[in-house]
Amino acid sequence: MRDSDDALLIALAQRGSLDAVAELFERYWPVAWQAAFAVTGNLARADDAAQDAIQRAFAALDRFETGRPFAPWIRKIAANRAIDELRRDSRLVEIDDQTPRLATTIPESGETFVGIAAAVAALPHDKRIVVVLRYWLDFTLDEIADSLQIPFGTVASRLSRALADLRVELEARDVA
Amino acid sequence: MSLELERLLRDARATLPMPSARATNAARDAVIGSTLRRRRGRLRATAAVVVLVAATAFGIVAGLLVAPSGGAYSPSAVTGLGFLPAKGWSVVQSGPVAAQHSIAVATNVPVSPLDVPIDGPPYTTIRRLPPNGIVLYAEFTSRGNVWTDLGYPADPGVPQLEEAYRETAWNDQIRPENPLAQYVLQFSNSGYNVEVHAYIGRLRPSATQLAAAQEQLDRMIVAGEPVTIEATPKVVPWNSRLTLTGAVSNGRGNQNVTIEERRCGWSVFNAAVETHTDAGGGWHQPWGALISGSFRAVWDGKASTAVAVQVRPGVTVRQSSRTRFVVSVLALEHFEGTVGVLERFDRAKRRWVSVKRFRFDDSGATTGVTIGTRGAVRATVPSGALVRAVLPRASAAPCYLAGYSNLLRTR
Repeated sequence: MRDSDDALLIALAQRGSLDAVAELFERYWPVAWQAAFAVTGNLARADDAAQDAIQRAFAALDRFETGRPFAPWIRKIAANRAIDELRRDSRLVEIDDQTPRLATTIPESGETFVGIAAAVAALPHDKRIVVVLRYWLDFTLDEIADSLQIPFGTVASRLSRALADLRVELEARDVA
Repeated sequence: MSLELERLLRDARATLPMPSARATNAARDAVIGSTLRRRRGRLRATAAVVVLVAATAFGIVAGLLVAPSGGAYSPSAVTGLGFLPAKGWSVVQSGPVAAQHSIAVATNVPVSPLDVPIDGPPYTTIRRLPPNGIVLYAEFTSRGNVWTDLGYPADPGVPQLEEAYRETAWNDQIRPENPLAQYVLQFSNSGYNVEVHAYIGRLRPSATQLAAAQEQLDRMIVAGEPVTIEATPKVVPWNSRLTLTGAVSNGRGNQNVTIEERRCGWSVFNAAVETHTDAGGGWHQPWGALISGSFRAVWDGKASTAVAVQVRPGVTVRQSSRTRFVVSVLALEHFEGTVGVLERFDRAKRRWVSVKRFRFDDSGATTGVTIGTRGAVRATVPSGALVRAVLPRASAAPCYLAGYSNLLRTR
């Protein structure tokens, strides 16, 4: 039902309906922002990257094929925009320790998910971004390789090592 | 362990925070702003052309006023939405004035017959614009939609071309092979959002051309109805909400607006709810319509034109046994004795076909003001078929449109 609603909204937005654009924004701005935040791990950079991404998405709406699901499309644009932002700042290599990171925004709690999110946030950056793209943003390995501009084999090995790290970390925390 | 870990990882995305209100507002403004800039002639006013005045000494604004062209006039004495033609200019307007949307074109070249009646930018005229030609295209939309209103800052003064956004992008060009100078102005005035596009026949217009365009812009009139009303959508399913929007002409906030309703069967309007205008004079009010009727807004002792809203009754169907279906209708009136239809979707024909007509024979289930009407129908429908029940327009009228039930997969 939601997809058919989206298809109608997208068709209306493509014909210039501001109400449809507004409704699509309300539905998918959180999706875009969460994707940007998952990648950057930083609130301010997520704001910038997500805003830029959603503007680009709406500017390219005429080229969007109605009938396709909207969420993965906008999620991918936001994630790629966030990766560009990090790459431009050379933060794919090293995150600035002065900026608040993903882990700092996660509330203290005994919940399993929170513990896992904290463990993901604590991963080295190159591994964290692969995990985030794969499991939080539903990228395929090919798509990750394409977005990060690294070989497929590197993605697979990074992901494998990241999962091994996480397993050790979560067992130590007694989460998983 | 690995699969379990992967599942936990996927579930952990639920911990991602939500964007802040500040970031959301900034992004919303950016998206709406850029969408408005991209928008081209989407407005499709259905009204007919009111008048076409070709390069004469007299002009008519929205069919209400005759004013001397190029001479002095008193804006305060003028009502309507559009342009008074400057000397040597033509004006084409859509009407009527009371409409929520109105379009006006002013040009110093003849308007192509292909662009009349006017229902959007006069593209043929614009594409044939000679180097000395100028076209001003204006859309007037009553305020009240909070989203749209964001893109139109209040400006009670005369719009200035020098403050306009100049469109320089290649894909904005209406005539890329021989580019035009294109400008856009967006502002609100007197309860209306106004978007003006100026097209000049050469990419680098002369000072004389810009002055001529400004002189015509000085003669734009934004003085519509004292108070307006619009309903979105105008046809609503049972128990759904619509939004009533509008604006007051003084463009001020915190003005009392009374929404009056005349339900189907009532002879007069009755006050339904009071609302207040926002900073730009627009107002909006959610409304749960339970029966067809019309609404009008009253402000400062003046009433708007009425807007009609049509409602569908709530119809549900369930299968009580292999061959028995029970159909219920919820509305503010009962439909006992009227005819309903059980329909089946024919996959080969790709359309709904009638299975059996039946009569609603039970009316009594009342919840508050809502009345339930029930009917049962015996029919043999193949297992796995898709069925629905319909209360046809003839049965639902005059206070409801036809009602369509939920879709049911037969057992």
